[in-house]
Amino acid sequence: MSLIDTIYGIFFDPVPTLQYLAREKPLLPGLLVYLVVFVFNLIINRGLTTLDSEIAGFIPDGNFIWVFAGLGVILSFFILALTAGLLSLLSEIFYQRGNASGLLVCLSFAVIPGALGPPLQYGATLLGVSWLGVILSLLAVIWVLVLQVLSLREALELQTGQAVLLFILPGLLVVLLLLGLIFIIAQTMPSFPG
Amino acid sequence: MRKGLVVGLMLVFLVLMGVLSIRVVNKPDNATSLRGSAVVGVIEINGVLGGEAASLLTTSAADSNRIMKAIRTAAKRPDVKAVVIRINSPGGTAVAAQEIGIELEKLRKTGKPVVTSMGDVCASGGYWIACSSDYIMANGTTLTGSIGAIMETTNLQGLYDKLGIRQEVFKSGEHKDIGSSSREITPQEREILQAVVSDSYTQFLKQVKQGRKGKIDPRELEDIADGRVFTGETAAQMGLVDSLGNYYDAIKQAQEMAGITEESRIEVLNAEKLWDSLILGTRASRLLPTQNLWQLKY
Repeated sequence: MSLIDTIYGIFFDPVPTLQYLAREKPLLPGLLVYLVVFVFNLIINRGLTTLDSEIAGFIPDGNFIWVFAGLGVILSFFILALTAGLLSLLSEIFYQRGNASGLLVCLSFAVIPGALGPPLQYGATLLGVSWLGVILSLLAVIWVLVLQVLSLREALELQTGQAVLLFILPGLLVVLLLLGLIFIIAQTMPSFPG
Repeated sequence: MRKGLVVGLMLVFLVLMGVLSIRVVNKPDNATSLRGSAVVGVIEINGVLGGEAASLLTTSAADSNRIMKAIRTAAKRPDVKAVVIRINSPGGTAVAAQEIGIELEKLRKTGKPVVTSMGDVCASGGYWIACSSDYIMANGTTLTGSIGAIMETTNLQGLYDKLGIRQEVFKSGEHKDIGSSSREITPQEREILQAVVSDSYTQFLKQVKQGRKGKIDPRELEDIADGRVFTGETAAQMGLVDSLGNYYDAIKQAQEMAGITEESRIEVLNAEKLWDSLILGTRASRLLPTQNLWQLKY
C-alpha cells in the first residue's frame, strides 16, 4: 500500500487501512506524517492567532514562539510513544493483547484528519464565518478521536467497547487519583470550629 | 487514479491555506482586507535605540533601520490613516533618535497624524522621537525627560599598566585617537569632546522647542533640560507631554485626529516576521561586542 493509498484509506476506508498499518508497521512514514501534520498545524495556528488578534502583528513573546514550537515537536513525539506504550501495556494487563509498535504507527496516521481542522477554521475566518470554522475544527478533532479508538481496536484486536474503555482508562485513572488525593488532603486537614 | 486526485486536491487545499497563513504572519496587513478599510498603524520602539537589531543573544535594542522602514510603510500605505508610536525606551545613540525623528517629520507632512504613547520609560532619545509627533500621551508613572547628551569613555590605563599592556598608536593627526581608553584625556581633547556634547545638546533642545512649540515656555524648558527625569504626571503639568492616558487612549486619540469614523483596525507595522523568529538565535556573532568604546548618546 503506497502512502497515497494509506492517506486515502485513513479518510475513506479506515478499518482495513488501520489493520494493514497495525500488521505492516511502516514506522518511518508514520512518524514523518505525524511530524508534517504537527508542523503544518503549528503554522496555520500561528496564522489564526494573527488573524484573530485584535492588534494585527502583535503576538506576545513572538521571539520565543519557535523555540517553544521546537520543544513541542520533541514533546509530542515523546507523548505519542508514551501513549502507544502505555495503552499497549494496559491492554496486555487487562486483555492479554499487546502491539505497541503497531499501535504507534496507527496513532501516527490517525492524526491525518486533524490537519484539515485548522485550515478549514482559517478559511472560514477569512470568509467571516469563524463560528463555522470552530465547528469544523471540532469535527476534525472528533474524527481524530474516533480514529484513535479504531487504532486501538485494530492494533490490539479488541472489541469496540474494550477499545473505548482502554482509551478513556488513563484519563479515568488520573481523575480517580486526583479525587483520592483531594479526599486524603481533606481528611488530614484540621477542621475549623464553626 | 481517483485516490491520487482526492489526496492531491486535499494537499492543494492544505498548501494553499499554509501559504496564506505564512503570508499573514509575515505581512499582517494581508489579513485586514476583509475587515475595516482604515488602519491605525502602531510602531513599537522597545529598548535601547541603536542601528542594530537585537537577537536572542543580546539585550533588547530598537533597531532604527527597521523602525524607519515601518514609518515609511505607514507613509506609503493608503489604508494607514494614523500612526501611534509606542515608545518604551531609555534612549540610545543620538543618530538613531535623530534618524527616526526625521522620518516621522516626513510622515507628518503626508497629513497622517502621529501620536506618541509612552510606556514604562520614554526618556532622552525616546523623548527626542516623541517630540517629532503631533501629540504625546504618557501614563502617570511613565519616566520621561532626561533631555541631554552624554558621551562616556573609560580610562583603563591603570589596569593596562598592571597587566603590562602598552598600546602602540600610529596616527595621522594629533586627535585621531581622541577618547582612547589607554591614556588620560588631555585638556584640549576634553574641550573638543565637550563641544561635541554641547552641540548635540543644543540640537536636542532645538528639537524639543520645535516639537513642543506653544506648549512649553522655552526659558522654562532650558531650566529643566538638565538631564533630569520626570513622571508622566509632572511632565504633563510642565507641558512636556499633552495628556495622560494608556495605549488604547492613544489609539483613540489617533483615530479622532485622523477623523476615522468607520470601523478601523490596529496593526503593528514593525511586528516580527515569521522568518525573523525562525532564524533568531543563530547569529552567534552577536555574542561579541559590536559597539565602539564610546558613543554619543541621548
